[in-house]
Amino acid sequence: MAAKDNKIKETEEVEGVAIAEDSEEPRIGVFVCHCGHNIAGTVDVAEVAKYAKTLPNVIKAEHYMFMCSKPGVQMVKDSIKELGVNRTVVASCSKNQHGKTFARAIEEVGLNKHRHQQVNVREYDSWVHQKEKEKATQKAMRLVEAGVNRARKLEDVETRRIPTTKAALVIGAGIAGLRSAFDMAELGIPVYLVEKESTIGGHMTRLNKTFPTLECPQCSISPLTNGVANHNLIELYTNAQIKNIEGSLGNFEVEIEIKPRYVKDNCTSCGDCAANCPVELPNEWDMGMSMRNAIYKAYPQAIPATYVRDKKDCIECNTCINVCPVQAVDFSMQPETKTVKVGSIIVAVGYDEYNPAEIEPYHYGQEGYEDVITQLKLERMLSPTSLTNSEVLRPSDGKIPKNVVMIQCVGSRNDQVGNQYCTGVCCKFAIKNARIIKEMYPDTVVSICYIDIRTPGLNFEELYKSAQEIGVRFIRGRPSEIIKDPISGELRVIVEDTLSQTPLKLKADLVVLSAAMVPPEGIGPLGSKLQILRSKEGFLKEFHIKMNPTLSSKGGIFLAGAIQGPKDISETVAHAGNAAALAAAPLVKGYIEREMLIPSIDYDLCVNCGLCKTVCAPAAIDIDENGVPVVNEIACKSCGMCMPVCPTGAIQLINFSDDQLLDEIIAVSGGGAVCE
Amino acid sequence: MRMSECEITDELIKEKIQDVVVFMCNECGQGSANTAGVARIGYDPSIRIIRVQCTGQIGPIQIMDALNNGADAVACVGCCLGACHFFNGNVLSMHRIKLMKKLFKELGYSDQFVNQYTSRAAEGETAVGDFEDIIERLSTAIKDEGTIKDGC
Repeated sequence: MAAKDNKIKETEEVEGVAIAEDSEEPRIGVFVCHCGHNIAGTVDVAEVAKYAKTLPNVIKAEHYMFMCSKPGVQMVKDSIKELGVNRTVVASCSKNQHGKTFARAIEEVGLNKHRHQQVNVREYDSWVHQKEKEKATQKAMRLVEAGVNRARKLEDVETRRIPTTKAALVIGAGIAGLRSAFDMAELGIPVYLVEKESTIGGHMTRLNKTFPTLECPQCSISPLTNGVANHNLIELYTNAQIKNIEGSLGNFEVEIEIKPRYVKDNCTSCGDCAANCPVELPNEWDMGMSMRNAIYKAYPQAIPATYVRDKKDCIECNTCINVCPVQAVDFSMQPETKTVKVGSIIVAVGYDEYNPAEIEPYHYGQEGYEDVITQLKLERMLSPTSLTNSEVLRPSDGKIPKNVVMIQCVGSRNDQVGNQYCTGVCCKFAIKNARIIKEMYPDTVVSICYIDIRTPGLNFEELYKSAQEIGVRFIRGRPSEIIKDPISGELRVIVEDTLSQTPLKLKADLVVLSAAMVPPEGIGPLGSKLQILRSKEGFLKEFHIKMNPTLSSKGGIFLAGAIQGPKDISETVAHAGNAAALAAAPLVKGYIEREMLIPSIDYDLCVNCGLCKTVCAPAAIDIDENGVPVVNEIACKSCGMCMPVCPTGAIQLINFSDDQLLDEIIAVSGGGAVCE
Repeated sequence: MRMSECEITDELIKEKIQDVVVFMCNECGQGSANTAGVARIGYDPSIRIIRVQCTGQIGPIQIMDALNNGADAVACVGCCLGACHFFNGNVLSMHRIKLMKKLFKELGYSDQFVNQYTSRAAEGETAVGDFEDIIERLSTAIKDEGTIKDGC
């Protein structure tokens, strides 16, 4: 670390010298590589070097067997030291392969590394034109000329070190948020964990069993919930929401709005207040499967264990204030706003279960169709702490159903509701629940209506097989409608078994809809506060689907879990761990190194139209109070997309400006203007 | 229309295609050209690659500069749709090229002198396929309407 620090210091000093030299005339050194026979076998390298020598400003043009070897690199270094070369062009392989080698070499002898121009005459020329040697040589000359033209105007780009704030914000305390908060805290980073609800744990705590091993999710998550609640580096804010976010990568300033619980922290969780509360409401946490009071705890194991008062439904009878043995209930508590400074942000707000009421033929939520429920409700029904005592009972009459029909792909893989994606977990949890029901009630007929059963991965196909063996019926077809038999009043599911091509009318006492995972409510306003992009489905968009699925469109903001796309618990935990590692890296290091490869704005030309702001994906261009666009050096990703939209050409990316590109274009496009 | 009366042979067209400027993005574009090189998949030597940060960086100025300086055709090669490393540069570029094509039509030229493509860094064939398509479209355009130089 210390050695690295010294190196950076050196460069900074050297840069000062390089800038002073800027007014000097360009002195370009051209080096053509043979790459054994790879280049020399096709391209006449001597001829190319000879041609390069004739170009203006070129003071040295050489060809050598292996430029990337030690003597080759030394040649480049020597030319700088002995001949005063201030820009180098190496015509060899791709920039990815050895561009860095030469950039580092010239940096070692005191030139800014951005003064090196790599010309690719191997992958782009000799290797692909092996049969046309003459043309390949001509092309190499052109490419070298383009490189020389480009090198002529190359400018220094400074590497700046930006200190970061050693703290992180995690939004959402579901399994993803908990995992990433805990992982970061273990790395020694103070974490602010913000949760919208009054308890932490999210969807996972609501589940009955997790697939494929049928484990208890409460037991799996409790070390994490307890660990987070008791970690001395994690500050937990429940009933809280993000009000405002400012700043960029490494240094954010976040305003958190915390709604009052109306119960102070000295609450002993004895439950006297709830026991005496006269108001009873369906419990949202339990999907309406149990009742709660106006002062309540969502579920017995909830963390934090402090009770919370629902101000909206409270009748203010003050009974709870009077019965509380520790005087913890306080109606005078006010909402407070906290401002915290953080270096990284992780968004882990999870998902919502799709509301199937939108699909009219399934009659979900309509009167007379109480027996049409969703999988999450079934999970609550099956859970050990449920009102039904873990029995599956029909909501309409409380009887054990004799026929259970599960409908897959409700809200996913459906163009009509606008969700083309496959949620990917519905098949798995439907099979899991079907198996559990079948095991509990062997006489009950459990049918799953599916389009395709998708159970990839270790142990999942086994789960599917075991469900088949136990006698779960699988019917391939998407049900068109759920109807009510006019005489008996029983539900019927209309479906065509597409394998045997027979229309079926399934008798159903209970219909379970496997609803899709959709972006959570309120993600739009949060996304715009964070200034990050969303995919067309509404989830937050990752930086790159393969190479960086946890970084958002803006540097310093990371995504964890189902907010990036539907995921199961294992995937979520892995995703969250990755987000934590990436978010922690700059904070542990303490600084970010940024090459200032950023656009500059010529304010004499700028007309303040703001078009550059509209195309800037990482939101690196802001309009300041005078209406003038300003580039945020840290947030910029150097894509150059702002350049072509500018009507006056005022914004130019350093080393990729219109002027510099023109020089390169002239060399490769036949040379000489046609239209005089 | 704009060609001289003499018969246009394929060889003549091949001779006429000298310089095709291809702007390739720093990520998938040049990545796939590199992969094509490593796999030694040959293509027309008139293809001249310019490496840019993102195809979204290429505007009408660059395209017109290239044509004005003697290029026979211009193409932009970016990442696949939805896989842009800067979010939507390839889509922006695609819209821009569409507008450019309209402009060319209005000016009385073939709209095949500018094109937008995508490629995958892992698959060199995608880039070479793009290059072949550029040459093919250009050949047809030259056959039908003459080169952009003739029309100038």
